Amino acid sequence: MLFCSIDHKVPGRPQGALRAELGLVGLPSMAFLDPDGAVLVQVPHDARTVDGLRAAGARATRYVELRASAPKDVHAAAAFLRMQFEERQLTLEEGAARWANLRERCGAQEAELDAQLAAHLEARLLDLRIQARLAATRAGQPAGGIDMAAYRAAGKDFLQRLREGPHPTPYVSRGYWYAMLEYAESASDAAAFREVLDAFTAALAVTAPDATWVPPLLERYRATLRALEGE
Amino acid sequence: MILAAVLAVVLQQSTPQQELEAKLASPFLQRAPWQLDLASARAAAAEREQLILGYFTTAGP
Repeated sequence: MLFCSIDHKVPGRPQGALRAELGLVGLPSMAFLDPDGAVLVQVPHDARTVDGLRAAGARATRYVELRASAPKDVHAAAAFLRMQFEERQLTLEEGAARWANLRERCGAQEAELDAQLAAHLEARLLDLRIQARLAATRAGQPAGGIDMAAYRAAGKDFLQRLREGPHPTPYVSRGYWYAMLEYAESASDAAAFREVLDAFTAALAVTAPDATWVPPLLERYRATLRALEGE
Repeated sequence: MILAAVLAVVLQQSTPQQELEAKLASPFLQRAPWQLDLASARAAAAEREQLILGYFTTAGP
């Protein structure tokens, strides 16, 4: 079933802002919805090909299956939670509550989740905690503003996490890396800057392997590193 | 350059209704059976036990 929604500002005509109401950000956006109108799976911008659409459709079908099985099967519930994290459908509070509930169910049923999946869910939750920490540095600031002292403090804490773990997924907000780089630069710590830049480069190789904006971005940071090392 | 400037002026002068009508006349909407109303799409998807593939675009610039 094909559905096209057009944002518009025609007075009195409905559905002029449906995209925003559904939480879809990009223009244009593509997503699979269920017959209740709920967004299941978004089609990434770099996957808008026949194969990409087929893959997203299969993922949406899997989403519906897992959602139906989740109430009675903890393994399906874990896989569904993972999918919802991946689709960025949960807030930190919702994700934490769902994960706690799932672990409780596993305990009650003496069921053991796949260790790799459990670690991934923990990491996804950490992604949301990091996102919340970054958002806090913008709270109370003018539009686009940031509390630089809080931002660098977050970067310092993130650096400790990078060294000691636990680690977020590569899909964590890029602000995680930017905050660490900002902290390392402000502290004139070339070794830390290099350490973060290497890890950021590895994460981008996973999350944005073909993105044209990546090489110039990394080159700018490498130039900063060279300047730091020359000091 | 001149064409872009003319287009910018034309777009500036378009009303929201005209922008929407222009978008609704887009060729891609004629090439496939798109539903343009969410309630209708939902009802048809429920009846056919299908999912909905939604394409979300804009009438504005």
